[in-house]
Amino acid sequence: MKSLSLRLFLAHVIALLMTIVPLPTVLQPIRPPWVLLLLLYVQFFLPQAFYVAWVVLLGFCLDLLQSTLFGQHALALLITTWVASGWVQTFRFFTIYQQMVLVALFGLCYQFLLNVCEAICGHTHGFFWMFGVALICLMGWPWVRFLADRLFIDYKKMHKGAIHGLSSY
Amino acid sequence: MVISSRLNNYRRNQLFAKTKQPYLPFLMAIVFALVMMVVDSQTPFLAAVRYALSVALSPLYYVVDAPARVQTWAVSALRAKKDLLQDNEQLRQQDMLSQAKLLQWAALERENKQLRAFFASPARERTQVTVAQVLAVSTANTRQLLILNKGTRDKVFVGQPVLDEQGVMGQIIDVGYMTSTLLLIADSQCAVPVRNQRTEERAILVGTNRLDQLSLINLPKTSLIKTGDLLVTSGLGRLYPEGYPVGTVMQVHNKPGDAFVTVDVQPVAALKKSHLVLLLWPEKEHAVYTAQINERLQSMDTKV
Repeated sequence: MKSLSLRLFLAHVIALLMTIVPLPTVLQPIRPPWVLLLLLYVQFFLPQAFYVAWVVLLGFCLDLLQSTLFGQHALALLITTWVASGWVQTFRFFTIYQQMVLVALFGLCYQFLLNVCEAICGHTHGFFWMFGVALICLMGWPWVRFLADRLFIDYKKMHKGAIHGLSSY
Repeated sequence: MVISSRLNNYRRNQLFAKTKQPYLPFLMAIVFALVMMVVDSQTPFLAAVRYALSVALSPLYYVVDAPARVQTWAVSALRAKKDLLQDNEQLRQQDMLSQAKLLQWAALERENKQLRAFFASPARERTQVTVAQVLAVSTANTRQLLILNKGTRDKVFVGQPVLDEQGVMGQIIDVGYMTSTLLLIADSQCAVPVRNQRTEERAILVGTNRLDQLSLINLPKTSLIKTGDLLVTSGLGRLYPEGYPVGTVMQVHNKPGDAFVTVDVQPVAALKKSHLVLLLWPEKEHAVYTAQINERLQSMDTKV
């Protein structure tokens, strides 16, 4: 499976599957937003593979799978990734702890937008659960980063390029 | 003409770009998403789009449900022969008792038909019933929804009532090709017209987003309702057929300052524990009667 596009597509499908896997009732409100975490990784570390249209399509898929208003998850994903786009240049130079805090804030933003949309539609949700989602994003980011690095970034090619670049001096 | 101090190749010089990703695609997509939300909430125009996407996404439900099915199969395959024989015997006895009840009800049905013919009332036809399986998938936390393994290929339709073996569970709110979405009566946006079986009083039963408690609203202070009363569907609104059990009264709150009485009701159906549900199809003349009733109501509104 050498094609990056195919691997990304499968990863997104798995993220959608993880979004609808049943969890115990206690853990349901703090389910990690897998699709958001994967999109943030792609935006920061694979910017050449990040497309706004793909974000919209994923959002619509989430709306259908979760039986919410069409466009609700798309809106939350779009605004969150738009806010994150301001950090694309500097994110990869942050330490892992700084990255975790920033991703937690993006998770908070995402869940807040979803809660606002649900509230407008007349569905109540516990206000403080979004901080639980932010905490889960904070703890989950190193794992997502570790797995995604292994799956999408070819370190051998990177190191070869770096060694070749050094040897040319 | 404005003379700019920027270099002519500014836009091409991305090596040391200091700006963010371009904002225009995001802005256009956000406006598009907002428009979609408004259209979906106010009009039925996106039904075709939802249906098309559901054809592509329904297999994901089955993939997520597969481990639960495998687990159920493994548990049944590994059970001791003695337990299976015991279960078999219990089910045979239950079946015999159910057959005896059916014979009794068949006799009552014949008697009912004769009485209706005597009083020149139209006979009630049998409703068609199909069993559906609840898929083990998770939906939005703020809603009480279930996903069923029947869709348009099984002639399921929006608004179809759903029961389990004990009582009313809810109604279908969205139908795809292979799956459909069931809105449980526990959802805060679901309301069921009910009738007290003991006093014949009519009321509306609404969900509270809790699986173990529903609420009767707008009940007058003169109501004779009390703890233990059984509430059944009244048939008003023509969504749920008449006479199916919905819930039992748990507690009646009659505070002096309030205009109405508040009643806590426990649902009869096992709302999120049922793995199998029953889909009801209306009688053949249901659509005709519903149209006549709506026409009469509209003419009454215009006269007023």
